Amino acid sequence: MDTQKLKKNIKGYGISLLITVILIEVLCAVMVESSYIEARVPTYQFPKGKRTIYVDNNEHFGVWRYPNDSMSFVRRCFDVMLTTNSYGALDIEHPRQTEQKRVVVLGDSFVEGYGVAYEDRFTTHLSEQTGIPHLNFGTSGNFGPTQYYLLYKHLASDFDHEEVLIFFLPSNDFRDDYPDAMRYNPYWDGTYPDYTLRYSMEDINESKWSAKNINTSHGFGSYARNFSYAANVVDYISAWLNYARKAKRVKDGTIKGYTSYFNYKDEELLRVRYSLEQISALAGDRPMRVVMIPSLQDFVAVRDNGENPLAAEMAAMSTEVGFDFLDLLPAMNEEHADRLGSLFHSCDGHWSPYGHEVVTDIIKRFYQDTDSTHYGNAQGPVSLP
Amino acid sequence: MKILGISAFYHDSAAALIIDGEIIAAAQEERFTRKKHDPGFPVHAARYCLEESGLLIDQLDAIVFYDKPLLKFERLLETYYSFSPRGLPSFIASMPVWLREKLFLKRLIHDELKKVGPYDKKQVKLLFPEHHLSHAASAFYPSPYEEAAILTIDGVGEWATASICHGKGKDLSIKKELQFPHSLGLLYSAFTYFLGFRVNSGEYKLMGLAPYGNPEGEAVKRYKEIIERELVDIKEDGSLWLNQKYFNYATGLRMVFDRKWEKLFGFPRRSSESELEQHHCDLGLAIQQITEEVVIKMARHAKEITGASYLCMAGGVALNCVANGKLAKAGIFDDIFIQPAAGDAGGALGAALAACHIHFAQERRLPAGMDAMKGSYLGPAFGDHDVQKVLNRYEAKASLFDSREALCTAVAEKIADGAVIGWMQGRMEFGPRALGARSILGDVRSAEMQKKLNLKVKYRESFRPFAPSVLAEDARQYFELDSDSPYMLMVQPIQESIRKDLPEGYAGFPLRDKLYYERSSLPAITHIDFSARIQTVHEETNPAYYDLLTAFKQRTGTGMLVNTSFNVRGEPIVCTPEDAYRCFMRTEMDYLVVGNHLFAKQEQPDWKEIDNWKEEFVLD
Repeated sequence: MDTQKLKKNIKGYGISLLITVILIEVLCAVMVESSYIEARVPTYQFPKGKRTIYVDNNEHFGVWRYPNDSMSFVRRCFDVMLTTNSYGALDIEHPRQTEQKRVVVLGDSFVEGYGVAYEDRFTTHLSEQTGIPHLNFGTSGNFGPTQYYLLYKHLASDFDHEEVLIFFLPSNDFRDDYPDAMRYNPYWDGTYPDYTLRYSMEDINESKWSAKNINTSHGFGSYARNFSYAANVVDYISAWLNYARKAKRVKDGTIKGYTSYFNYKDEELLRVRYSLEQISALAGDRPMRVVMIPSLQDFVAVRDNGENPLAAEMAAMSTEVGFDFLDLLPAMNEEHADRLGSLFHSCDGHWSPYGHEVVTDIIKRFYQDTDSTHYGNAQGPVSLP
Repeated sequence: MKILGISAFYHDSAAALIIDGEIIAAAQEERFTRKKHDPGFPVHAARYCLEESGLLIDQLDAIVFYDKPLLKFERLLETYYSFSPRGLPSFIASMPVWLREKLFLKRLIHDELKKVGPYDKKQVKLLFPEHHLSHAASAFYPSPYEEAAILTIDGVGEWATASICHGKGKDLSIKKELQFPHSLGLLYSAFTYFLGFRVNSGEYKLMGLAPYGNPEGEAVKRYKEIIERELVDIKEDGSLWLNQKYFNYATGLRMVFDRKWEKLFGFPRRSSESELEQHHCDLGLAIQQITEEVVIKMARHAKEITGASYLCMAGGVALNCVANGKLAKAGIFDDIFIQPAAGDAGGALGAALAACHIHFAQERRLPAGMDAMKGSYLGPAFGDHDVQKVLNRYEAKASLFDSREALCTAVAEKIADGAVIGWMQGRMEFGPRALGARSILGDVRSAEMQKKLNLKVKYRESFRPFAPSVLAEDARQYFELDSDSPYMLMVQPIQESIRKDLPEGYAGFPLRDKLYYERSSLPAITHIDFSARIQTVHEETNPAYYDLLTAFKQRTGTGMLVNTSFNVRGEPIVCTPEDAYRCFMRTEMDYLVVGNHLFAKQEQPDWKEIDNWKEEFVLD
């Protein structure tokens, strides 16, 4: 083939491709704008903020976030703006000292409110509905109980508070306590209770996610979603198929896979216990509550097995260590067994805004059931300045 | 040690003066300005207190404000943070006042004090005890107890909404506190709002409405179940937690989310002045019963943690005399003392007492009589000279009696004949209740009296009951009362022996049919549920009123009168003889007594109204 013919062919294919892309884009735009498909509408703006605000930048607990920063977080089924406060939490600003009763909340991406806006998070709902500020210290990024403890010790405990609320996610919290080759993360080494705190790497800068190595610029996907209907329609169809597939598997009881409600080792549970003991010791007289989060697979596994051994072990642990324990699984199952899928994002396994609402109500009931009093601390003998 | 206490800038501002721990004078600003619940700086009340004692501002050892404004501001800010951005409109609305005035309270107090009288700013010490400490001090220090548990419950102070304290001698310690936004007072106010009454003043109307609910009906049980399931979690120790999903007071400009409540209870919020229906009464009864349960639980817990035999109470919720009566009946404590000015006005007195005994560490002397409140007759008194001014100004006619005995005999006779009397004697009451110094009086035996007083004299809602004043020594003859009730803060049932049988199905009768059914031989003061808000009258604290009751007893065999506050709806209780005369002439009262002067309505010149007085006083 001579060069001229080749050029002509390429030009022809190019024009055909361009016309096809334009037609697809127009078709997608018509479907979206006519609400036939409820996909996201392109903003025709360049992505705001950083590509990511998560970074391995804390020498004690590894992953955290850039303070006073923001990022647009878009997936097939959500589009939220994440904004950090002055100490890097995805939360409004809270003063360190106060006379007001407050609750420190520790956990991973579920607590952070992965994929939901600030106003839709359960900690926001709890703050509003209890009148007691819930300080959200949850974060994504392979964050486990050892890190909950270290974050509490080195950051959260610096904020006046009267209670500690910890969310434990078996489906990855056991695994988060192992050295990660990619990240700078702490873990307990040894046998209970003789552990040594170690880190997966000696220098935080070795981490692929360290400030030195991380790329915070936006990728192609961000631009495509912001400038193309078609990209968003593809996202939508993919999310819908994923959701439909998952919903069918939940209904059939065929959703399987890894479930830490059953697949955990004694030594892993002991490491979790040790972290909780450390938090309890730091919390002192403050009440501590631990809430266990089931993944969608865990619901099916417990239903199929007819028992819940991890919940039983955690309940026993709560008595020995001295905290109140709640497994969200039975409470969520009780009222939402026929629509469990709606509690989770359709495009990933985290809670949807509706899931956060449901969790809020369950936690409120948990408070009511476990609080022996609603009185605050006593002031004792009084004096006038 | 001379101390002036002040409460202001929220509602019911007041001033109180103590000298070496003795209460010399106390008064609410509204009585002077004629503006109900006046929140302004109590210039007139403070001036009166100083005049009563002959002191100048410079001679005071301290001026004490009843709460800590900066702590209150902190609460406002942090509440805004917690609810951000929901509370923005309310935050924006409240900020100008804070930034202009309240944050600079010291300066504001100094500026306002200049209106009271000249003084040297450097000579005056300003102190700021916490709101609930002021309440606690107002309850404990004037009480007759060396040691007591103290319970303060109101809407909110700085952070605290209720506190349990322990008082012993001059020492006071706070044992437990309930914090904003969880508040029994605000819960009650939320229902006050939903049932169409005005918050911060209509709570006592809700209390009066509650007995019209059907205690045996399903509705009350259902409402209670809804309240306890959705709105409030109550612990055994009386502490509570309000589900803020349903309440808007923390950040909003309303008490509740109307639509959520409407969905919850199945009927819309009642608009003010609209017809009261049975479901309103049933809901009122449900929240009243819950309030009583909480107060009793708190008191029981106070007993547990202090071990004290006596209880002192203050704070707005302590004015819920139905709950007080139930608490007394529960027999948790040997006796209970309730500060007669239990609301924020009493905070002025408490602040002064807290400064005296806590800051200046002055020893406390237990009162020789029943308590140190002097019957709560702590306001201004007026003499013949002041009455003469009224006679001159209005060309009024009055008979002057030589002796109190003759006056009381004549007045007792007129009451027995069905007359309604405006009665003004001696020093004005401190606190919301008229206790026989500024009262409207009538015959308790009259079946028509409640209707007449409500509709022709007080111009207020027909469902509201009237209270009896009874000779202290006769009280148990008529009421199931275990101890004295000198400040009209206890509701107790009337004795079985004077009750009349009720027809079958009475509990389910419509409101109006219930209202005018004669339930006892004391129909004017027997409320729908056979209860009465009792004032026991004691010779040592109010001899004039005691003599009148005695004269009435001699005439009729009943040592008891209907006693309602000397005002019309929306008006503050009268203060001066002129206030009394104007109120007398504007209503269908038959006689007015001021000191030893008796004014008969038919002898007065025609009343020429120079202002639209029914609009002058905004309906409460």
